[in-house]
Amino acid sequence: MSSTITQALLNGIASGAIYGLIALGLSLQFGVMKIINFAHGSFLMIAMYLALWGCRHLGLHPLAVIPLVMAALYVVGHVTQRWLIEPIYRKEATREPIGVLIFTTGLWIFLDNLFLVLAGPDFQSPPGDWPNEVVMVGDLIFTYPQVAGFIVASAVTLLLVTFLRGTRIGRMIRATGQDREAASVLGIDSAAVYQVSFALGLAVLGVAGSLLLTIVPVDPFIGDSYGIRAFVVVVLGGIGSVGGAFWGGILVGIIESMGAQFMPVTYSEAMIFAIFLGVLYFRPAGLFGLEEA
Amino acid sequence: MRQDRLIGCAAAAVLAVLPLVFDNPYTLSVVILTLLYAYLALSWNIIGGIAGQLSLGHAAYFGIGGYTSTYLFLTYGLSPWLGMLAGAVLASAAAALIGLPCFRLRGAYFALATLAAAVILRVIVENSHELLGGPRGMEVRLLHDAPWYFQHTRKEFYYAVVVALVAVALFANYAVLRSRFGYYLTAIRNDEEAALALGVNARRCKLQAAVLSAALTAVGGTFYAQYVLFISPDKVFGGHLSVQIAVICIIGGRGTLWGPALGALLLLPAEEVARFVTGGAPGAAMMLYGLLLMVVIRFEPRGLIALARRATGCRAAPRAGVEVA
Amino acid sequence: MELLEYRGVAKHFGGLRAIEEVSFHVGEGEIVGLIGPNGAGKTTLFAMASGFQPTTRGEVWFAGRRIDGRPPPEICRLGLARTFQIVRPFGEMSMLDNVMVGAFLRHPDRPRAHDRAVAVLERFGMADRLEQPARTLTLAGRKRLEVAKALATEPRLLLLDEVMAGLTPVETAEMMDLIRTVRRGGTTVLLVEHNMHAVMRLCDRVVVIHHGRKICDSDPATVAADPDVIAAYLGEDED
Repeated sequence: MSSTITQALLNGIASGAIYGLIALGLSLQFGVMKIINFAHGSFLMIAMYLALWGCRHLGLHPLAVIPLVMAALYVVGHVTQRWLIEPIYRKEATREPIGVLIFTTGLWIFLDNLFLVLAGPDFQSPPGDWPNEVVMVGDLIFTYPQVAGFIVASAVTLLLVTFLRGTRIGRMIRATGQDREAASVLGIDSAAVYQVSFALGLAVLGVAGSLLLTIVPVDPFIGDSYGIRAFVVVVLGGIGSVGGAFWGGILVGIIESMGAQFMPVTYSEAMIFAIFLGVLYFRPAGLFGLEEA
Repeated sequence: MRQDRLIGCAAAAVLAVLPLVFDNPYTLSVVILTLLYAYLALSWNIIGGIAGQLSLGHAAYFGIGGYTSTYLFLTYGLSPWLGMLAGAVLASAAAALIGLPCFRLRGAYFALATLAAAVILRVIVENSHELLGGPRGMEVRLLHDAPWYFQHTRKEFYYAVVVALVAVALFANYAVLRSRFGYYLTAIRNDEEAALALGVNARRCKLQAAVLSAALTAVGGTFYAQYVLFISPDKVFGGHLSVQIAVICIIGGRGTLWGPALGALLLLPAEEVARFVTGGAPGAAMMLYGLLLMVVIRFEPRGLIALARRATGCRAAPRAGVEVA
Repeated sequence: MELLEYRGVAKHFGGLRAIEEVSFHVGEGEIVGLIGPNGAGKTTLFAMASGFQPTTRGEVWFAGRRIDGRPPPEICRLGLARTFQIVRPFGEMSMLDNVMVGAFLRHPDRPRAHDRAVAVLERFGMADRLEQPARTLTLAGRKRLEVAKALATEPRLLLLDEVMAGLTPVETAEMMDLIRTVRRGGTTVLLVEHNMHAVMRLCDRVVVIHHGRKICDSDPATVAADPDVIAAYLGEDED
């Protein structure tokens, strides 16, 4: 392998880990509540603006804002689930929760445009030179954010998987995802589980948004492309599978950066969607469809 | 049913005198745009409303309509009236192509798949530099007053055409809702498996609905191209257009006869007002769309039409499924 | 004449053997009961006859045709209609419209389908609330509507999945009358039911399934006295 190809592959893995992290929260929500949250990309955008604000106005290091953004997004998630989604979800009961899908579409449009009004259309990045510093390994060059992003994203994924398997709340979340009725027979309060899993999903998204900001600038519509990509990742990884989302993210990252070597950037976007359609059709359980969350 | 005819006659009367009242070009252009969106929402209603298959990729068919007629006109000098039919046929084919794999998917997956299909199409068009003008789009050659070539300098011409389109779309919805086809689609929306058990070939019904919906939408695309005389991928293939069409229909009342038109009638002028009030701040109008969508789904998932019905007190027990029966 | 026939049917879900090997038939004009302890695989047998699940092994024949593996709408068109254990009304549609969806199968034009649906609802004693939205019905109403929808497709054979579960004694008696009326109208009935009393009174013949196997197939009195059947039901109580 030539070093250009190796470099592209590793770049793909580095950004792919963050894509996986973005998709993780979505997968968790889908796996447990069977809802599609179309506002996911907008929450990512909010996380990025929060991180930007922390860097600019509190003078924090781009990595130091992570706990702050995480906590803020957890609260946002809790409020959204409790006051906005739950009432609609409850009305729909058993079948496809299409009302939630439509509602979150509204939320998506609203939030994106709210930030267009509040923050303006410009692309914005955090101050400081840290994002541009590099590590050299032989012929290969990596930026600090790439390295940090990969490490943090992998660690958070691992933590979440351990949490779902190893703790009582985690097992309750998984049980509810597998069979809501059975779980409620066991005395699990599904509404409470939904709140925790939705909020947890957004907290993870908070980490992802902070990391993403060190790689790409934020604008009000950044969530569109990354949000939809998160859905692709979720489907590739197997809907509801947290571990699968991570590998799906890496796969999308690789396709994107390798594709960029051979064809116009827009084509690799189309290719990702084509693969997405193919997987939906031929392997609805996903490429890494392990029964997990 | 009688009520529907009454509303229809009243609407026709209003539409007939409207251009006499609003004779300044700006107002008339808002009216035309409103009617175009009413037409698109009605077209979407057949698959997205009545059949309940949440398509978020209808811009694909709109784009196919605009691009087909414009391409045929610029390359072969074919009248866009004929190109419009060609676009409808092509869009039907595309709908079948997208539908065949996607209809196996339920609800959310279907929405995502249609969205993805539309993006793929947009990317292909953006990269067809020689054939379709790439990201910069295509201009329709000016012929000035050439009604046989779907062009005119007077806005009233387009107004007449779009009124006719809305009438056609309303009639299509009316005919569907009253027929076995409409009952089957409504049943599929409510519970697909239960419909299968009653002998409903759900896949075929959905496919037919998708094809009809796509063909109508494509005609709207041709109209847009001839009205604006310019098309580009981000204008006619954009995700926002797909979402907007669906949103208007849902807010108005999906699966009903008058809901989609009502949605456009309220939202488009509201958008203009919002633009005026905020001094044209970008985002304000769309913010309104998002907010309205959330409020409607939260408090009246059946849309404004259900509110209107309750307010006017007609029909104590609304038959949300088949309105016109 | 045999209308429906299961020939050595088996169904496995992964490692779980829901149905081991089951053969039985339903003759034209009969009312046959299919009983067995919970989880015996009765609903799975229905699903395989109505096209909602393929068989793992074996065949299902209906009116001289093999039907397992065919799509549900096709089977319905051949004249086999089913109801669902958890009733599935089209909630947003009125009662009349619900039944019309079934009636459209044999009567494509609307006025005819309308008349047929009204006729069915009259037989069910529900003609006085045609316009009521289905989601506002009581459980008994929904169960009846479920049968009415299926009957509107004018089937030769009707599969009823626990249409009496959750009903009061009076409602159960009404439902039993209804099923007898259905048979008098020329439709054969195969029903899954937990209410033993109803099964014994209603059925000409009873088939008992236990742990995915047929353990008995006879007239109600013989079945009630069969030691294997008694053991199967007592065994369930111990669980």
